[in-house]
Amino acid sequence: MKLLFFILILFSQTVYGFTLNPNTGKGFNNNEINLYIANTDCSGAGFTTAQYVTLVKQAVNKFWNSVPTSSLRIDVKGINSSIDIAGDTHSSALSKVPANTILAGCNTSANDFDDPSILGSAVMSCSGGSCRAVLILNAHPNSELPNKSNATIEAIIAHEIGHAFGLGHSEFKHNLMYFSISGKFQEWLGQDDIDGVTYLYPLDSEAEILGISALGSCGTVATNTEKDHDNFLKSLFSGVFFILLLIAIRRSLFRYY
Amino acid sequence: MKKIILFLILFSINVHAITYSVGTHVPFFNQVQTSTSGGSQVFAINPYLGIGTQFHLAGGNYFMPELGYSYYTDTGSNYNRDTIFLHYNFAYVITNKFIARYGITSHTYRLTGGGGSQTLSNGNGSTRFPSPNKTVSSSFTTLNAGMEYFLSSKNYSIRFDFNIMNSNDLDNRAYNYLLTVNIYR
Repeated sequence: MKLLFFILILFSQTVYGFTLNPNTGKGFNNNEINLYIANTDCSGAGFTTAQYVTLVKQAVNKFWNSVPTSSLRIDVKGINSSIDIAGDTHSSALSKVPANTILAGCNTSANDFDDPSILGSAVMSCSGGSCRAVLILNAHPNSELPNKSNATIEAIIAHEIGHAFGLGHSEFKHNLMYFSISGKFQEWLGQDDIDGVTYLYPLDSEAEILGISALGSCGTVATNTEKDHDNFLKSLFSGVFFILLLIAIRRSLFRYY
Repeated sequence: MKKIILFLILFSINVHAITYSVGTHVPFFNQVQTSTSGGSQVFAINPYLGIGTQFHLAGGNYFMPELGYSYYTDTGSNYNRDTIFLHYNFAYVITNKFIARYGITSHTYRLTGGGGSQTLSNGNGSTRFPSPNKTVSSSFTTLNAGMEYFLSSKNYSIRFDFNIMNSNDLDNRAYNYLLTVNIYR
């Protein structure tokens, strides 16, 4: 009974479960995504467009570009002055986004942000083999964003970027992809976030000899195909083969017993 | 030619015991948020099983390859995750009780989705979010360093292996560790 109780305690840890973007159910088709800042007025959110670029870069580098099991790399290109989304709805802004690109901007429209506690939102769309997404922060005069610290705004931007590349919400509050930033300090990604980005953009280091690939987790572009399962089986069988080979050598050539 | 040389090396060196390992694997040491205040994971119970062997190379040096498997218990109901390890470690005998370990490990980190969807809060309402519905694996290699301590019976030991992920990227470096009890037969 004591043993059963001990085992139950050991295995009764927090459960996790990431989800996917409800519009697409998938990520971009490649793991290198460009991100532009639109020609947009973010003064209602408490920062300039140039400061927005810095915040986005910090959000990307702190959270999504540093996951060691994922090949996702978001390249923040800076301001694209030719894209103006002032006054646009999400869908009309999305129509201005080039393929394989995330566009970040701000909006002062009360229609999009009728609730000042909604700090940002993101919409992703995939068609014809390419995806695009737009993330918009609440720059309405009633927005609560100006009251937030830079670290919190970075976490909010990173959360919306998570939606923009294909993730949905997590059920658990300590994950970045939880629906609210209120009442928490987001220093790291949670396990849900790591597994979500790994699921959408896995690393795929080609096995060379007995599963050994280049040092340092060098990965190539990964696609979500049956190849993922093949690689797992390849590693399993190459490992089994390797161990069996060693045991066979030991038993056939070096009869110690 | 390289394979012939590899086989000649394998056939020309001494082979010692087979090793069975049981323990826990902790991924992303101190880099996964586990609380709303920013606390991170330093220990977890994720069962690890391994089988390996050892070759005596020269002096106090050994080659100790091992195949391992770990299943993660802190996973939600909509997916499972596990890892297959191929350890290619070397060992150096420091004293009768201690050996130092170093080498590389090939990891295959697998996520298996169960499909379906979850209804979750979406700020001012709720939305049905699709759950992962297929198997995806992510492969990467780590650099390893560790220690092994032999108990009074020479057939049993306790091992600590530290794995360095993204070893060539200082900004994005991450760490795993493996804590096992080992039986030599």
